[in-house]
Amino acid sequence: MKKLGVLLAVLMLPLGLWAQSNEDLMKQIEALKQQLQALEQKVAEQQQAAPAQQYQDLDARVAKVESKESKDNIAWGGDMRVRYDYQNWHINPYNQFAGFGPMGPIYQPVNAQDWTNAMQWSLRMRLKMSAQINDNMKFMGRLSMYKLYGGADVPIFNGMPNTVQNDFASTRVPSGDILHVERALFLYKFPTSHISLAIGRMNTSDGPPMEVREETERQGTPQAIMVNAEVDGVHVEYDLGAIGMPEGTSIGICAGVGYEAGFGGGGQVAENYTMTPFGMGRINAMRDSTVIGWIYDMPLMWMTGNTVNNARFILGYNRFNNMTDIPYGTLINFPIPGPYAQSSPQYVTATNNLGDMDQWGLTWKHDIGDNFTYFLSAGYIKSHPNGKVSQYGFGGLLGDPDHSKTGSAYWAGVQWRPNTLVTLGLEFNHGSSRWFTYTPSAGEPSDKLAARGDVWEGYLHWNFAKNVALKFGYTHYSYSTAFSGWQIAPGDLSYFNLNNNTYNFYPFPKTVKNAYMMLEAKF
Amino acid sequence: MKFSKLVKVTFVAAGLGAFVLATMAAASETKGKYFFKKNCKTCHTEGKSGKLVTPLTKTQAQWKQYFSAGKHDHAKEQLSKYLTPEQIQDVEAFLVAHASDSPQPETCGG
Repeated sequence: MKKLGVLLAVLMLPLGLWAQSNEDLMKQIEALKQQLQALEQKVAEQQQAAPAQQYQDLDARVAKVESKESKDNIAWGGDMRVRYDYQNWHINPYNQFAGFGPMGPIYQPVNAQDWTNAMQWSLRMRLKMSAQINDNMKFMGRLSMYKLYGGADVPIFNGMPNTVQNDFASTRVPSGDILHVERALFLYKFPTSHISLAIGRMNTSDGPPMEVREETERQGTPQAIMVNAEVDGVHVEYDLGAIGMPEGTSIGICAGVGYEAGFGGGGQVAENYTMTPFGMGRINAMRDSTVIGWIYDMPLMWMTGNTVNNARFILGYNRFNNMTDIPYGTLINFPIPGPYAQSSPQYVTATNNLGDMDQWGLTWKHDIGDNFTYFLSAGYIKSHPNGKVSQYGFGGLLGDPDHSKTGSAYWAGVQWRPNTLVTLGLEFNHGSSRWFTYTPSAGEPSDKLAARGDVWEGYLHWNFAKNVALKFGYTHYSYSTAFSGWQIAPGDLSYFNLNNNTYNFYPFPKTVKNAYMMLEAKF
Repeated sequence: MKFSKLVKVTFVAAGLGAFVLATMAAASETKGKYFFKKNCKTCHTEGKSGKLVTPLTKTQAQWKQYFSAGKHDHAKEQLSKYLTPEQIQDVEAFLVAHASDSPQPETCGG
């Protein structure tokens, strides 16, 4: 019995040991559970804390951006262009005015000649700016600098309008390293009325369809064939899309000032005589020169098959009132070579109001898909002279101070974009012998849209990197009549046919060949 | 090969190359403008059911992000409900090219 008891005790021993180890295991599991719970709690706390930290970081970054944004009232952009020009002018034989003799004007025959400028470099920088003043009002502006390489700040007057530096083209023809205000205007959209108002130094240069050649968004309101100048004025526009016309259709009325007669001179006194090249002249008692007009603008869009067509139709009219003979400006050698010529910079200003002029313009531009664009633009003018002539000896309106005259022009162009990198274009324009248009801001060595004659231009653009393009082009001018770009002429313009030996003040070219190359970057 | 022949061959090759490049499928801005007006502006106009949306509503980066997400109406539905994949690419090309940080028209009407 004793032995049996010992045996049972031996047999029970592992059970006791097992009970002991199970209890330990339970304790360990409990400890692990607590650790796990603590870990879970910690993770949960961290998960809660992480987004809060992220939001704090984000908030700090946004606050920084907001602070900067609130101080940056003006949004800036711009472009820069380096341009090379080759020019060749051919001048037919003519008779150069050389002053007055006892029997009247004296002329000296001049043989045919060529003038070549094989290398002309220029630099243009434009800084665009805009600011949202409030929900309805915006400010837009552009500062520009356009200079030739080297010093050529004051041009030698050569008969071309763009060699008179003046307010309408201060940034569009080379004029030194000064930054000029090209544009500065307010735009105000009247709430709920579909009417907008623009006032200031206006977006009136490089208008449609100039943006085709320039490969940019539309740059101005008036058609380029009618006005391409820096005009100070006002424009009121009504959105005809509000009454069911195609979206974007508008009718606008504009007004501008060409010559202010009441500040510092003309108009303040009735009688005042001053020295002119031909003696004493009455330069005062002048009236302001103004322009008023309207423009109808209609975009159209439709689909033919799988091709989207974008088109724009524009019809415009301007009335130039009390036109003057020349703009106020700076130059050398104006108006007549000889005893009155000056080799230092001189100032010229208007001497008379010559009358009024009507101007009509029409443009059709059509993008066919993404690769092809063509446009047609035409202009017509009619003068209403008042019998007066320029006291510089440059005659009356369109060369006839007593009779109404007309002129016309057209301009056509095609553009092909085989891919996103390359653009090829061809343009042609023709102006009649009495054609005049107000485009001193053309920005070319010779203003092609003002040409009395034919102009061809071909170009190739290579957009080799984002916002950067290399542009090559050639423009061939073939003038038929002198005084292109001028609203005045010393006599009837039929006398100034460049195929004849004209009696002239300046060697007006018969042909101009202009090859150019540009590197342009937008930023 | 004569020089004149070489010139002709070069021009023909260049023309063919340009034609091939011209016919390569790529997102079309003009089509994008059309589909945006036709499909999107019917609602996203003042006084209509959707909020006013124009290309100026977002920056280029924001438009790209929007189209990469491919959602519409605050991510409640797929953009493909309204536009085919090709149309989405075209509309994106148009909106990015005319976004608020892209070059804008400069007229007297704003």
